[in-house]
Amino acid sequence: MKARVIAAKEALVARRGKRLWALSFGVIAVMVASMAIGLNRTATFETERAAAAESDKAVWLDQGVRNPHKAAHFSRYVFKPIPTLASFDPGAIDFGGIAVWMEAHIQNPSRFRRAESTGDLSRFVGLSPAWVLQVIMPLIVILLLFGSYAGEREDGTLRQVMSYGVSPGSVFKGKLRGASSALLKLLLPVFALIAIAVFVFDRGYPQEDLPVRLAGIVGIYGIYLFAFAMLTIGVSALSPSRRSAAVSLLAIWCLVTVLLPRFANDAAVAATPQPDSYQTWKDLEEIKAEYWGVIPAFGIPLTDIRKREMARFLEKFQVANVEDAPVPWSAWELQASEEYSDPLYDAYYAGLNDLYGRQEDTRFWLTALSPTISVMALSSGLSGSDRLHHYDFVKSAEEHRRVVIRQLNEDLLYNSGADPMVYESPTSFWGEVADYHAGPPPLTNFTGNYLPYLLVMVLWASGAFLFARWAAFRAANMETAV
Amino acid sequence: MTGALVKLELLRLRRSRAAWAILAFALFASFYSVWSGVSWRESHSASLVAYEAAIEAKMDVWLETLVAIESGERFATPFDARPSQVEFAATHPVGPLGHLAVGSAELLPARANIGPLKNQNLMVERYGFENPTTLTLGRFDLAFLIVVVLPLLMIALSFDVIAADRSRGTISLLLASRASKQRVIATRLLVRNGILGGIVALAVVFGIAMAPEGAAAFGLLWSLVFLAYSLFWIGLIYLVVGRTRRSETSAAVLVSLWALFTFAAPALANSAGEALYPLPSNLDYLSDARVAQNDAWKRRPELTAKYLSDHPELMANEQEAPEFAHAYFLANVMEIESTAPIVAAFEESHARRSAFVDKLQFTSPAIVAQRALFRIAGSDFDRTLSFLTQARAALMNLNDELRPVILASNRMSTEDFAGLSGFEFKSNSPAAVLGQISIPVAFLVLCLCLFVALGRPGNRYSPFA
Repeated sequence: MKARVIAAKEALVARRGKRLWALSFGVIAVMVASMAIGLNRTATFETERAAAAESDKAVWLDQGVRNPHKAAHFSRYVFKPIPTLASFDPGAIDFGGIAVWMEAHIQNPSRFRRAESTGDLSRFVGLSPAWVLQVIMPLIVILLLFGSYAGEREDGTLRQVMSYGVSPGSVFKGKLRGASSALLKLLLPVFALIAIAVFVFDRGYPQEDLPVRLAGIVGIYGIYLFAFAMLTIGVSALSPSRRSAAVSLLAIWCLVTVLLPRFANDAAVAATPQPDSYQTWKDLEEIKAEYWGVIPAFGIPLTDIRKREMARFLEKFQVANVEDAPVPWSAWELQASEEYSDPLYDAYYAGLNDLYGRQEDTRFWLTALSPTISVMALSSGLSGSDRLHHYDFVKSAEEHRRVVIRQLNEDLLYNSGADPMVYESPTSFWGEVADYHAGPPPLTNFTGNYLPYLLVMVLWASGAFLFARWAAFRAANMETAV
Repeated sequence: MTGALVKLELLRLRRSRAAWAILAFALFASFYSVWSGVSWRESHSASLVAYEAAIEAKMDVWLETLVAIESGERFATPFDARPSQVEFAATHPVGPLGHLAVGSAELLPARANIGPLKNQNLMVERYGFENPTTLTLGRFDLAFLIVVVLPLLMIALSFDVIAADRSRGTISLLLASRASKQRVIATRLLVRNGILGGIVALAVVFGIAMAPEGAAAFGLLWSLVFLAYSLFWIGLIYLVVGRTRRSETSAAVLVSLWALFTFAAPALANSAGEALYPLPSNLDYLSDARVAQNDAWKRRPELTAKYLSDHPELMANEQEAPEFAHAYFLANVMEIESTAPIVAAFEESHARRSAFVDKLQFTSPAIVAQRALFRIAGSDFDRTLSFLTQARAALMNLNDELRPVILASNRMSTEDFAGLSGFEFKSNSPAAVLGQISIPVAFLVLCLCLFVALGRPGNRYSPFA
């Protein structure tokens, strides 16, 4: 009962101060602007992707009669679909390539990172609804709640309340209810706005599990902001005045939301340096050349790998010379070389992925100091715009490349007759080559990767709650003792 | 009197744990950022050197083969020492102070292979293997520290420069001495921020000392921008703390201004630039390039015949080169020609967007400082764009030089090879950079003058009026 009265008083003070309304209005204005920018970007990117995919198909179908291996070198591109929720949180989407060239012999990296053409200013910050919730909203929470205990202590009202026999627990409960109510009033319109924007106006590639992802986003930001609210109440309760509470909380906000995420990023790269692009590409070319010895391999003595493959070929067709086999050896070898290098590429890219994972592990340990790092990881994961979703696209593009190259090699193997070098596939064949249709992967593919971050968020929120409760009881007891 | 104020302030600072924490953080962060930048520079430069050495070694072998063929020491197969195999490395070296502002440099291409079997799309060597997650937030470099973190530390150190005396009730005692309020504030601000700035300046000097030879002029310009930007913030803090009575109000106003200048204004300027001057899509470029390649592939006999009918003297080739060599060459030449409009449109749109941001930069000192520091360091987007333009020009130049021998399936002479133009990156001189940054830096100085003028006691807008 007493707690409800205190909560009602908190709400009344907030209403009278007009601070809540002003902040709500400001947040919604920034959110509308950032959401509009996000929706526009996603729609533009998806339109560009669809046009590029269509153009790529048209060029492929229009290549006329051509040797299938030459076609395999020209090959096709696959383009990364931009998921709906990238409007809310673009995450790492601008920093991963958006097109993969499905060339024969080699697994190319994804290319055309959008961040490369956004100029120097984008290195400051990208305005997005997720950024507003991650950086600006905690500041709003601090501005709303920094005086919750410190103000009452400074004005002497906390002592008055305690002298009426109200227990410290009731005061804390009242403050908690007041804070939750203020937070809900701020967040409900924000989340409603996001939901409307995503379900009604978004032109991104549809995500089948969109409602689950959106619910997850609401949940993690709820936990994140609750943690900040509790931290604010706790610091306010420990501070002798509004001034010291405001100053301490502003320092915490700067450190936690601005400095530590950037520092964590740098520390991750310092602990595990980025792969050197030149060396990485050289390694991939070495994998490409491992089967052949050197490319082009005309007139070069056979490598041991080729000799073994030739022996397998002769045994399979029960012939003594490759010329006696029912299919051409050179065409057979093209597919054999692909199958030889496929696991090597898998291992190499898995190694790169492990390296990225180690970098993110370093970042993860710094979440102990900043929940913003956790919420960034979870938010981009739930939005389908993080590195894990990007890697899934790269993997699915590679699977598709293998299907396409096999199709082309088999055409050469079964239809080229004695001389695959001069064989040309008919124009109608290009239409038989499969198109790439994979959309964004489901969230369930990555649940295990996000659980540690979620756990850290829950720990942060629980820790902040316990801290606030301890600080509030201490403040109330001190007032009673005086 | 000023001497006594300085001594008193130093004493207060010595006793303040918060001040020690801020200064220790500044020391750690500024030297860490230089160390981080230097290690990036070393690994990036080593990678570029290794790339150049690999291409050079490849061409040495190619040239030895050509010499052996010319002297008759070696029998030439159709694949040996062909002009289509000529390659030059084009690298974008780290800027003179690139380790102080990594900026966009870690994101953008720095290696290109200039050769007739390459086109604009393929000449840029494969890159982009970095973790996209870590690229998202950028590096904790000295430029970030100066532009974003330093003002925050200055605010933390200075927001209560006079309000603390008000709340303690010691203001009357302080003003009972001969010192005026504005002198007290100015002295305290200069002492506090002088120590903080001195720590960061040490890191700046250390960073400049770590630069390669010939970067002294750039170092001087960098120091100038650092000084102008720091003084801008001291001036702004001077105005705000003088106008506000309570320290929490000072802190809130200053932090709001900081957030406005370092986050809101750049984000809005960037979004406005993107929306008003969109760059042609890379995917459009790719589509056009592939259409051109496909057309060239289909028309290669016609195009070769046309060229050779104009130059019949080239038809007497000594040995037939593989067909793919001139087919690829023609496809690439056609691709370059047909994508020229989209490349020109990209450069034009970028120039318009850049001119727009040049105007918008005056909305925020942080944008002014960031653009100036990036330009001086040689880490700005424009420098990479210039590298790509120069590499494209070198590719077209080489194609013109090699076209006759490639299309005629001839082999070139060692003399002709020696006469080929390679690639050398031309960067801006310190004078050119000074020309680019002079107006923005003058703007910072002008703002400082304005703050000082507004703060003079006789001014009706003065906080001390």
